[in-house]
Amino acid sequence: MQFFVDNLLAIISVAPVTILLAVTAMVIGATIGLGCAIIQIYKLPFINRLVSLYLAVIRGTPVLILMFLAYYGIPQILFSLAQSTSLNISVNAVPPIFFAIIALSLDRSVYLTQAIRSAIQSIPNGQLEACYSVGMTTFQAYKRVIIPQALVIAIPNVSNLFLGAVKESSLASIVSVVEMMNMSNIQAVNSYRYTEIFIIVSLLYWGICLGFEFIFSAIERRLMKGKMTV
Amino acid sequence: MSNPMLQLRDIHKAFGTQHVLKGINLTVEKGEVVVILGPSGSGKTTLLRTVNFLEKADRGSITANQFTVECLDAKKQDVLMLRRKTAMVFQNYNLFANKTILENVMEGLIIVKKIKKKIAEKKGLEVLDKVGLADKANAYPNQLSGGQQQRAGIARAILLNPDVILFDEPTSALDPELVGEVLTTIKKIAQTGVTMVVVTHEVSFAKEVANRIVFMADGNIVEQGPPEKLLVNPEKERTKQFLSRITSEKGSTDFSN
Amino acid sequence: MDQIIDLTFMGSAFPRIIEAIPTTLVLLCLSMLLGLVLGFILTVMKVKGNKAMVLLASTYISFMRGTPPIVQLFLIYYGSPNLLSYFGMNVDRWDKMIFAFIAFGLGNAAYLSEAMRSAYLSVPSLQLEAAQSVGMTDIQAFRRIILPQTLVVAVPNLTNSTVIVLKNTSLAFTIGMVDLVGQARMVSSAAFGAKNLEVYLIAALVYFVLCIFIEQFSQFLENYFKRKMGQLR
Repeated sequence: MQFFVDNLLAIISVAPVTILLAVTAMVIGATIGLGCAIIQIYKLPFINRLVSLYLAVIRGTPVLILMFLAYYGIPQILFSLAQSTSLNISVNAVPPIFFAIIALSLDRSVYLTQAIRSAIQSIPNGQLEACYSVGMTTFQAYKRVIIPQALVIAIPNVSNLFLGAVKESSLASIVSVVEMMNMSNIQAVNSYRYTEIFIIVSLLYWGICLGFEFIFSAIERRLMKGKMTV
Repeated sequence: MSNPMLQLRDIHKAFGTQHVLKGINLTVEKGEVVVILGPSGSGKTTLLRTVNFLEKADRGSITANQFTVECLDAKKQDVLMLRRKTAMVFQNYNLFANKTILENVMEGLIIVKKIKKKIAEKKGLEVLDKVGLADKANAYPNQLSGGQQQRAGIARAILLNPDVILFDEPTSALDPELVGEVLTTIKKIAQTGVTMVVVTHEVSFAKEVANRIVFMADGNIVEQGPPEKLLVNPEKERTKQFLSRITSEKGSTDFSN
Repeated sequence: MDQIIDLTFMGSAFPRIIEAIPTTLVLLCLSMLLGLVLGFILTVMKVKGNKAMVLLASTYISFMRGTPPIVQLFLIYYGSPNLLSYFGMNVDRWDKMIFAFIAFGLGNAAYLSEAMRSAYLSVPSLQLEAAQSVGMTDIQAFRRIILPQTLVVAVPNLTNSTVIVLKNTSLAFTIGMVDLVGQARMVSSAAFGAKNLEVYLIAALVYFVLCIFIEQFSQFLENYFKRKMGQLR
């Protein structure tokens, strides 16, 4: 029992890192995703094609590979640049979590693009026309009317994507970020009790996912209710 | 009462607290065409569905061509046997979405009656010709109009050569201009001497095709008789009410070719 | 060091890395197969089962969806030998492939059963009634009418799952399997770790192309099924 509690506490102590990874990946991913979604909706010539290629490539690449590419590739590129330009660039001081966040954000951006695009497109065109009729610009219309409505519609998808981010953040352990999975590895190697430790960490992930699922559905219910009464 | 093809005894059915069928007794002779009329919610569709065991009656028994099933302790085999003695034409056609029209009508022959595919195909094409769909044999249901789909549904039913064909409001999902073609088809089938039970709203059609009209209301059979009697000179007040409302609405399609 | 990416090295590393494609594909196929079988069982439990079975299946699905694949892989790889030794089984000698495909298959089953269930529920119950009305048994109705219609709806979701499982198989190197990633790492360490960017670019490219193949194949399947239902001409 003591063993269980000790390990549980040790793993929980790095849970904030897991959450931080997931949240940052979602925020950066949503920013990229919003840009990509708007480019796709308005079918901007040429850039639209680039975006489609970007989405296809990232979707077709395992996050693990993205992780390796960011972790090994960025320093390698910067090193070559430094050599050829004799500038003094070094990434040695950059903590590994930085690379993990880049990889996770790229991956999330693909799915968030889809979620955002379908949410925006589900808003009836009349809403936009109504905005124009009262004299709003397109930007104002999106900011004040379209996106707030789309957000509510996107919640179930965003909830799923966030839970996905929590789970994917476990891959950061492979590039030596000490989050929940990596901490479990450390504990397991120290105690040789792999089975128990991985049961503990899996229950923890499960609990976190169920918790966030609950929170998201509560938010959705709240917002839907607001919509009904208005 | 020489040769009953279908006999329902004391059929009861409740959905929750709602008593939909309150002890229905009905006998249909061989070759007879019985039309069931009644306001919506009278239980007529439910009655038809209990005959095919799409709804299981709470009490009573069903006899189709000398094969009797007690509704309460019906075994899977009994239900299957009963279904194979009857065929159903649905309000919403319910053609198999993954099969062509020809495959739809052949399906029962091949799977249930174990008839060789070549023969089934020949028979299928014949029956499609009969309902005027020979040129649509290889089309899929979603490529057909409602009226065409319903005629295919009728073809599927008659090809099984059942003892009784049950029609569940076969025209009520159709656009008005398509009702005629379906009713013509049903009339044609009726003339071949098949035993039929038809639930419908089309009073003028009932007059033309029925040997007997059964009027239902609130889960009971109110009265029954030949159309010329029941439609012109009904005995019960409830029937008169229903008929006067129908004729004043003039909602029914005139069906006099 | 005149170029950032060493294309000559990539050219020579490429054939060595793609040697591992069969391993990755076998792992993918076995995982999908186990996932489909188990997913089907879970679906039946949820659709037709009693309360206890529904609860059991739902809990299983929730757990598998709530935990990262890498944790599931470690649980199976490190945990199952422990567990099975209680029953007197010694699985230390088992090929790592077995642990990997069991882990991915178990996780995948949860997602597949959701896909199957929603596809099954999307076929109107009226289709079953129509099949019953012509006298089919339940099994005949399922096999000839319900299943074909379910498949059309399920193809896009099954494709998604296949792509996800393909990407998940990249985790197999963490238990020492030499799949695409494992092979890439070996090629990289043979170059003393100086060519990491190049080997992982190759790996990324291979995964990307495999995904495109899977998507093309599924598009073909979907069109085929749709044509069979007359939705395409």
